[in-house]
Amino acid sequence: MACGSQPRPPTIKARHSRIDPRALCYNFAVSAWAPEREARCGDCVDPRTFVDLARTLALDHHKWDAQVGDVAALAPFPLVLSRAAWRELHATAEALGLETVAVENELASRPDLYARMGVFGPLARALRPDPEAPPTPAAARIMRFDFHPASDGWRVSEVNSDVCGGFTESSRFAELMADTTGCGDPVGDPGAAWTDAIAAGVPSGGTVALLSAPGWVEDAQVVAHLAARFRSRGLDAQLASPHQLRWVDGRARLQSDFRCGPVDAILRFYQVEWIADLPCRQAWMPLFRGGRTPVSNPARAALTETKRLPLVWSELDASTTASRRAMPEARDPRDAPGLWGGDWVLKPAFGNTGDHVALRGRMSKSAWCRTVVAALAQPRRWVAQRRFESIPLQTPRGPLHACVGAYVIDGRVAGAYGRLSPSPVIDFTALDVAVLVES
Amino acid sequence: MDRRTLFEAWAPGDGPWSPWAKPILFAYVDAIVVVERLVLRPAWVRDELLSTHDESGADGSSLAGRSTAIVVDLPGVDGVAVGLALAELGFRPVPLYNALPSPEAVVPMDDVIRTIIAGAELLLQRPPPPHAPPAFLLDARRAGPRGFPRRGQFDNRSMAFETDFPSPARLKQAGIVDVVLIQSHGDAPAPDLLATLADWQNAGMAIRRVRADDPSVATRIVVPRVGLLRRFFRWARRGFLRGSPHLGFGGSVPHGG
Repeated sequence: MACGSQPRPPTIKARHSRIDPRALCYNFAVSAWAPEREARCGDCVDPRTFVDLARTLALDHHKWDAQVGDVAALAPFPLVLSRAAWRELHATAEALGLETVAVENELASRPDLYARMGVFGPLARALRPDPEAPPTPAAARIMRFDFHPASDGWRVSEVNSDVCGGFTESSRFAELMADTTGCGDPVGDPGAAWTDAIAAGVPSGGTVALLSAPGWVEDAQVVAHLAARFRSRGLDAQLASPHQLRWVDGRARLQSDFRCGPVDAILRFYQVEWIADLPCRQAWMPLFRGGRTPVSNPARAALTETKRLPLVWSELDASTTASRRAMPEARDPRDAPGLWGGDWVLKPAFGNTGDHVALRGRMSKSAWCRTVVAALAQPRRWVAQRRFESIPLQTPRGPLHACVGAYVIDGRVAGAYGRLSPSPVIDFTALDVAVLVES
Repeated sequence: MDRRTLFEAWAPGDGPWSPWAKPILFAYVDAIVVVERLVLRPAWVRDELLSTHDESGADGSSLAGRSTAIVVDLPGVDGVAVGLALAELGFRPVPLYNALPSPEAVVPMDDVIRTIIAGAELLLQRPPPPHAPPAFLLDARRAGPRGFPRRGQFDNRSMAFETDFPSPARLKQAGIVDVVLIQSHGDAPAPDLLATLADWQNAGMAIRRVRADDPSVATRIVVPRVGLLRRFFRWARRGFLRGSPHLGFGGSVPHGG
């Protein structure tokens, strides 16, 4: 590792439970793997009851995108995991969380790898270590690992390391579905856990600024939900844009028509690669380094958000054993044999809600060819991920592919966000499903 | 009246178009609200819109039938008021307001909320028929004023996308064969509406435009080919917009430096 004389960034201390080694061995027990034993869907809730439930979510818990075109985006039935399945996901996610933080800390002092990871331009410059401006402290570290039932066990398609949503769905929706169906219990409340972790460092009556990109209503609903949670703890929560931040001696202040004053913590629900493209550099740079007001997530989350991260695993001292075991092989598109034939999934290095994820067979031949050409023309912006066989679950709506996103906050699993899709790719059209664990 | 009753008035639980109603403004209504009674519904909707004729001279009376969907793209309370007037003519107003309200917002929504609250009483007293055709209500101010907003303002600008509306297939299933866009000025529809209108047009639905300042004439409009539009959006996003590549729920708007 080439640390040189660069100071190491402050390490996030992950509070972690003991890892169950059995959870890391599912690949050795393929013959015992049966998705129907791991997860099943409950029956549909009576339509009238479900409309009422959806309205509660919309009006009281900030779920505003429950309709996408003609698709009602909330599944009227729960996804129930077996206790054993949840134990496995829980342990694997915590192991992956530990590795991710360790990798991130090491990468903070390895700017030589950034270009290979697809991190370049203003984002790379902002992340590069600077002895005079140490990284801004983290208020809390949240990430979400997306698990899929596959032919050889649970597979992790990616980590949403920088910005992950789904808090209303994984908490309030799950609670309401658990109460309504009696099929199981919610597996946690990640919104509460995240806001608790941030609030722990904020003085009583202090201010938390929540940043999100203007115009993205699905992001606005998340920050509105989290702001309500802060307010219920007696904190002042303000929704703002990065350009409304001012920094005095590294301390953030909000300077806006709706609020002027110091900020005690910042919740960033604004993709770091978008922030680095904003013109107001003086306002956002201390979110990366030189700031003293803690931020969650820290900007270096971008280093593990990039889907090209696996391409540099071999260069790192930090262990990546759990990641290698759980995630499919990844390659630079130029080095992926059989790329044209569809053995690989193409993903942008930085993408959101499944945007631009390309899977041959799910799109027209010409669209697939265009994507392959784009990936080969700009390979550093893409990664080829070995395609795995997602096994659809039987649901009241027919067979659907499931994704269970396990949140890890400061090293501990805090809940799960479920989605169902007719296609193996989970994108913005997927159904949100309440994840319960059998009672 | 609590926020749930309020939302129920605008989007009945069993209403065919209710799933598309946006709950954001309703979620920001205080738990208990006092209903204000005065809503001025523009007389031209009743007096002129029904007798609107095409420029071609064709009778525009289909507006009174059940085969027309309406998109009201008028600023602020004007849109709500027209929606309520359309409700009296047998349309179901469907609020599509996506702006978060805030006292210092780029797009002020307080008056819109007040009018929605007042309108709920009217809708409860005289609800449109259960299978009334939809009148989608948009705020023409949603993209904010021209240029960049002031730095200190709360940025609640928003955009409308195809996924905010029913598909052409869904509309046709409900017997809708044409669409009337009501806007206050300008000849062209708002840029963020073009892809939606193009989808409807490509499905064989006629698109007509009525200007609020001259509602007696409906102009048939032809929306540019959707492929070109999408290409434009893709290009524009690279420059100064950020939206879902599928034009999903949400999208972002230019930032002031």
